[in-house]
Amino acid sequence: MANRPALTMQELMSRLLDYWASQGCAKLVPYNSEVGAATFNPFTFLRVLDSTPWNVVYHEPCKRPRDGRYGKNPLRVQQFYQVQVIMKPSPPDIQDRYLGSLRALGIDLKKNDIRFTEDDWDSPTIGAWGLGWQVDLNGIEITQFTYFQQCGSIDLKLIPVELSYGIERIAMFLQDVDSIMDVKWNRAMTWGDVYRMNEEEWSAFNLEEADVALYRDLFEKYESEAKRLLDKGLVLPGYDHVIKCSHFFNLLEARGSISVSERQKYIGRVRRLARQAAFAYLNKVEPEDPAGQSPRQGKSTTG
Amino acid sequence: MLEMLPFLLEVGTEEVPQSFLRPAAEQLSRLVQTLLEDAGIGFEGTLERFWTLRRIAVMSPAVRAAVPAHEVEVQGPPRKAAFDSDGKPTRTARGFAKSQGCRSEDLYVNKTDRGEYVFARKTVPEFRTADILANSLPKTLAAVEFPKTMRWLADGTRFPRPVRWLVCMLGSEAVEFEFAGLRAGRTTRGHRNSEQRVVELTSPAEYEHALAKANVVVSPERRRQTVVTALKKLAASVNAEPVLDEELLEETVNITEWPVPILSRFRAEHLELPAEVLVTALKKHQRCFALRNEERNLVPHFVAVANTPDCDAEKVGRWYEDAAESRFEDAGFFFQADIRTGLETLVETEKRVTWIEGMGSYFDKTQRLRAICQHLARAVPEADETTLDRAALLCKADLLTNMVREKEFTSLQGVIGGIYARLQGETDAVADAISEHYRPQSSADRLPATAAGAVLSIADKTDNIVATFLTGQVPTGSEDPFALRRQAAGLLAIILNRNLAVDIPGLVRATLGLFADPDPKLAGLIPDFFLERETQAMAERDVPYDIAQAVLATSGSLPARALATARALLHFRTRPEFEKLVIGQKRVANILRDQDVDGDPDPKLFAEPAEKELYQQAVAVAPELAPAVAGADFDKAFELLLGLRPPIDRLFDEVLVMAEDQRLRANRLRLLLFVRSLFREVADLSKVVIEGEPASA
Repeated sequence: MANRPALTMQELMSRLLDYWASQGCAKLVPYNSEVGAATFNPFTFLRVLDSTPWNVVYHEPCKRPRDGRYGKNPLRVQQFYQVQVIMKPSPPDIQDRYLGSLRALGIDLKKNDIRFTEDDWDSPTIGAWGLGWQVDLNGIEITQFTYFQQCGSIDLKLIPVELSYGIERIAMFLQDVDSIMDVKWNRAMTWGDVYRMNEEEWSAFNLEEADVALYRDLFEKYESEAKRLLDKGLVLPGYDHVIKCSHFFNLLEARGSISVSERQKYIGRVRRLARQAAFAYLNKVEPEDPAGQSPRQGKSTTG
Repeated sequence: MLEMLPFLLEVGTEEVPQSFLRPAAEQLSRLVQTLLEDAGIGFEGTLERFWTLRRIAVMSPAVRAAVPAHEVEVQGPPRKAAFDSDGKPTRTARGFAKSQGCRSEDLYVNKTDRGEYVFARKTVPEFRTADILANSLPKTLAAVEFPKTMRWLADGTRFPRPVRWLVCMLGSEAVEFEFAGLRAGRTTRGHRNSEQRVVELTSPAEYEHALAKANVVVSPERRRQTVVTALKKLAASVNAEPVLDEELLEETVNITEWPVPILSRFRAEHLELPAEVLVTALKKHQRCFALRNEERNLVPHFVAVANTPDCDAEKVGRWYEDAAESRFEDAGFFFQADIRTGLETLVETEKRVTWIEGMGSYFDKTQRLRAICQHLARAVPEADETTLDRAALLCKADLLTNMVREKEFTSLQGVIGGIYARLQGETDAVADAISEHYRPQSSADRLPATAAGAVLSIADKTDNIVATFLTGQVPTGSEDPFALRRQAAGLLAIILNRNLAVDIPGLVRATLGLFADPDPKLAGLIPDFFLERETQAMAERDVPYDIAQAVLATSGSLPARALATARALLHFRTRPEFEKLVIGQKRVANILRDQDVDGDPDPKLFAEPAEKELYQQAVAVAPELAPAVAGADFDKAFELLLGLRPPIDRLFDEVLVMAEDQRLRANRLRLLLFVRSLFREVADLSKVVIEGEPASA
């Protein structure tokens, strides 16, 4: 690394996309609506459900309103990038392939401390859970590595692996900078040049200004619209409204306007919508094996 | 063939959750041992078990390579079923003989513990240990239980993480079997960063050594030694010692194959944060050890333990530093914001935050806690009421702080509240009570050290139990999602340890009175729940079941008294007269069982001298017994009761209690009732099991 300039943010993203393309993944694009994680993108949420092999890689801007720190925390921001890999079914050498991707980024696997640290992932809002790790690079989490077991509250037949890379963290490591703001986007601009104002203003919006009454109302409206569309079998538009609901919920939570018990209720509502979307999807793509029958109805099996 | 061969079984996986490892390795070792024993395969010594997060292994230095042909004795049906009245073998006997490959004439009878049984001798042919292992090990591996498993293959195999290789060897040969779609062989894997990623074993005996060359220390004990030694050395280099948290140490040992401790530092200004916050941030997020100096204050250094042989320690260390820095910045951000807000404001906010659906807000809970503490203060005079009231009011406020709401600091609930309380000028007593009111969180946890902390903890746990019952979430069988049993055990531990005169039914009644319209059916279940927990608490303190029943029957409402009585009773039990005393009480209890008796005996109606004698002695004992019990002098109390044994025995010898004469009979029953009531001031001795009597609940 000493000899050649460290990868920029944009090089890093394209290297990862290229590496996984070389592993047989299709290079796709981000979704066009606010998501808290790349998992919400239908390329993951819906496509892991069926029995057709699916190998893709895409990058995704992720919005976590509650994490806004007005651009002042060196590691925490309310919007960052993930590179997401889905391989279904998961190949037996997936850990080695993953380590290969780090090598492709110029990370010396021998000189650094890379750990697969137990981290069972679950997203109650979309009824998904899986077992796996957070991958730590010298104590810093750079990837979430998960074997999905359930999604949309449905037991998966073909077990996919999901790799979610935190791009900024990796860039900070490669470029040896202490703050996300100093990450080089390309040779001329930093992450801060591109996003500082974004962080300042969105943090103020997320934590102080977002109109609670408005977003509570929008949640209700998008919820009924999602149900209506899904009832009609319009899976993708319906699911798009589910994503919106999830984002409004995140905003309301960031504003601190949701009590502990209310929080559970909101999560339950989004989860029911996600489940409806998952069933609608399966009924459409695998009508001969309708969702809601036999093995798919399983509850979380954690025994 | 009596050849002994070394044996090795290794299951290679992707990184298994560290807390599963020790129990899994121990299970696997027991399962393999049972397998060998059941198959009659001899082995020397005990099985060794190893693990890292990528492997679980069991090894024996010497296992017999084969079991020679030998005779075994097989137990068949009982003699009665095997032979008819003429002594001829029945169909059952013939069937058994056939199943064992012998003639029914060859069957013979032997006595067993459970009566006479028919046996057959049969010859087992020689078999190879490797064959038995190959047949049985797939089932053995599938039988290891884990807290949580996953699927990764279409065939539905379950394991905590994908299995990627299997080693099984007897001597230099592979024992071939299949599990999780893999074939067992002789190839293991070294550390991912080792020059030797793949290691071909020539014998199980070289397992530890061969893997050490491939940068894997398979023995957890050896890794622990390495880590502790290095930690102390690194700490000494900055004149400090490591804070050796056992949980963190065990985890560190489990998550490393090749531990490399690295000294790191953080900016000294973070030392302004509470030490608990720094230690927890380092432990939970970074899995790093904090260091402290002779005065037991933290120093601005810590130790990270990397898991790679040739790492660039300086660079890796700096990254751990940056991560710690960012954590501490966050913690500082939370801390400042929380201090600005203050606990008082948060108490106001509590009004808007629901605690449990249907059970009001956090604020409502603190109001109940204040009332319960007031109730308890009567039984615990050493707890200052003003302190208690203030601590009860503030104790839940930290749940709404930024710090405790953050995932990695949740475990500091209470502790953070105590720190903030002190900072905003509350008394030490209030701060301590808040800080320790969640204790004990497990049976191994410390109890609250202050009287106010103890009372607040009892109040909080009682409120949790009562409220949860009232929502209908009653613990049943293995289901206890809110850990109510653990909370009851904690509450009882405090009462017993401090010998507090807390009356449980009174406490439950007082608490129930604080809820609007408690469901009487659900409320009615609470006393039994406590009684069950008290029985358990007694058992955990080595009080046998029958003694516990004897004391709980009379002092179950006062656990501390019940335990003191039980201890006196256990001591007393060794006395030779004890058994007769118990027999007497059993007779009294039996006679009174289905009788409708009340009132005092009338001395004018005594017809026999034995009646009069018992009555006079009982009347004489009564005024001495009461103060002995009140003063918790149970040795004296038992001594007094023992004095009643001769007249009780005499009464049973000489007097027919169930006399024809209705009036005499009623009066004698009243006499027995009077005597029984005296005993019951101490314990119900009729529940004590004496030798030769079947135990009963």
